[in-house]
Amino acid sequence: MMGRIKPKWVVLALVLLAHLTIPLILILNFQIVLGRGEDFKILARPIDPTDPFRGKYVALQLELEVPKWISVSASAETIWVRLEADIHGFASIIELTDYELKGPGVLKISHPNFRRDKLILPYDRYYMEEGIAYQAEIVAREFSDSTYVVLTVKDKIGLLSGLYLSGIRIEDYISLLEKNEEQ
Amino acid sequence: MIIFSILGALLVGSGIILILAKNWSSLSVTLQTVLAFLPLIAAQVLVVYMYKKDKFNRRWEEGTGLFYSITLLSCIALIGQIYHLPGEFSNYLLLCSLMILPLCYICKSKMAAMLYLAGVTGWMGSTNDFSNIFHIVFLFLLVIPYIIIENKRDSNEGLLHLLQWVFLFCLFIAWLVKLTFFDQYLIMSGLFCHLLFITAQLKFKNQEFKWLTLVRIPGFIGLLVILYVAAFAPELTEDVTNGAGNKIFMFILIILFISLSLLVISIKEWIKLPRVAFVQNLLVSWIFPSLIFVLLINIQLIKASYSIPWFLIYNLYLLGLGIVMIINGLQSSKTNLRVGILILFSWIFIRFFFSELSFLTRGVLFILMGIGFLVTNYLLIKKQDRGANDGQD
Repeated sequence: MMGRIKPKWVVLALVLLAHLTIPLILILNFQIVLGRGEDFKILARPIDPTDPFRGKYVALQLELEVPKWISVSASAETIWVRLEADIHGFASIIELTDYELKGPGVLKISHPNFRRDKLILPYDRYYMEEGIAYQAEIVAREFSDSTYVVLTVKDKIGLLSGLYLSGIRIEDYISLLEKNEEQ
Repeated sequence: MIIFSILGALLVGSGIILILAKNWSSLSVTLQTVLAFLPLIAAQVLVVYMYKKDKFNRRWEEGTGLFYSITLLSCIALIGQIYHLPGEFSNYLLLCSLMILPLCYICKSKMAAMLYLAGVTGWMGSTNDFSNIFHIVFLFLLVIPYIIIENKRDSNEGLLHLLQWVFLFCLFIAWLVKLTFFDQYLIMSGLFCHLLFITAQLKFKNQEFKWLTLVRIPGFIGLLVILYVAAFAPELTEDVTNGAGNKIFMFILIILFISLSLLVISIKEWIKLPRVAFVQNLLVSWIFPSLIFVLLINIQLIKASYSIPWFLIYNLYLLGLGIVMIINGLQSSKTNLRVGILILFSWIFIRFFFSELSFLTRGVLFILMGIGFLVTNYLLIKKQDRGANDGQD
């Protein structure tokens, strides 16, 4: 026999469903960016702090030089930046505006942070497994000129998809090191 | 015991956060994602079980509500970890808080409501954006139906009292934090305190909101602080003259509206009060915003900056308030007496030590004031004696 469904069950179901879908939508968005986005390399200087909620990460300082001919007031709430990759894949700013830009390679940055003639990108953390993060900081110092991150950009969203030491993913590099030590 | 179910949920939840924070980057992204959702789904199963078995008692409500909230936090946190999301803590907080909000309704959990309030307040504090100042009101309003429902269910519950205090505290902090973004911080926060104070006196159908009366305390203290600043450091309030008074203007109109409605609603009762109490009510609930209103009109419309010696008026206002409260206190409540004495003595103290008037003027003023006090005292005693005699006759 089909009884009438009580409203409290409907409400409950809706809330439970929402709690599942919101994170899933986030994930889906990120997967689309990672899967279909454009890759840019940006030099990085990693160091190692902790976030009590989200765990271990290496803090990155990603700076891009702002070309001299561009002038946007430093107090702009939101800026749009167009990146272009050179032949090695490293990013440089070719456009920076306080109005919306269209097309590929565009990042939207709210509350931008400028330091002298450089733009500090808001992608400031790369999460790593506990115990490895500190090692990563030490290793990265040896590769200080060739440590870079790959930033994948699509639909004005940027996601970090990897931290590399002269072309090798840092996780792989550290596990290689550990294997060598075991031998 | 309810405390055990809360502690249990808290420990298990925190344990899950810590385990997930270990960062299992050796696992594939898909596995990590599944891992992020597992505790959340467990919490959901728990809630469905609670609904199915109709286990609505405080232990179950608080336990599942808290556990569910924590699993939500950890789920979002883990997604941030997997995708290396930048450390913009503020958006994370807002998203999590908004997701936690329905839990106070579906699990009837006061802990979830408190988490929500704390999260929203944290979000307020962490954004550098003051355009969201009016969002606070909205975000806090979302909890009010829950508080009302719970009050109907059992208004004597300890956790409910705690929730109400948390609500007030968070609202107060959120506003004060946000107001620092204004140049006219002092006046804005003064107005806000006053808003709290007068709203707390509103009655609907002669029914006072019991827990709203709590607001009067921070409201009145804040109001006094502002008055002191206005009376003794007028240079701090001068920002109002430097344009950008429009937001204040709107704000003060709202306050005037509320204080006017307060006047209309309660004037009948106030008139029945002794005359001093009536004057005191007028002073604290009506005259202060009107004063600031006149000040603003003066600045905004007539563009005359400080054509009236405002600090003098605030000084007089404070003095008057102190005296009225003392007289009122003598007739009725001890609290009024104490607060009034505190106002007067601190006023005298500050004037004595920090005034730029010459010693002679200060000396003469003090003597005059002293005589005034003695006379008032004498009159009061006489009146009391007469009152006592009347009583005896």
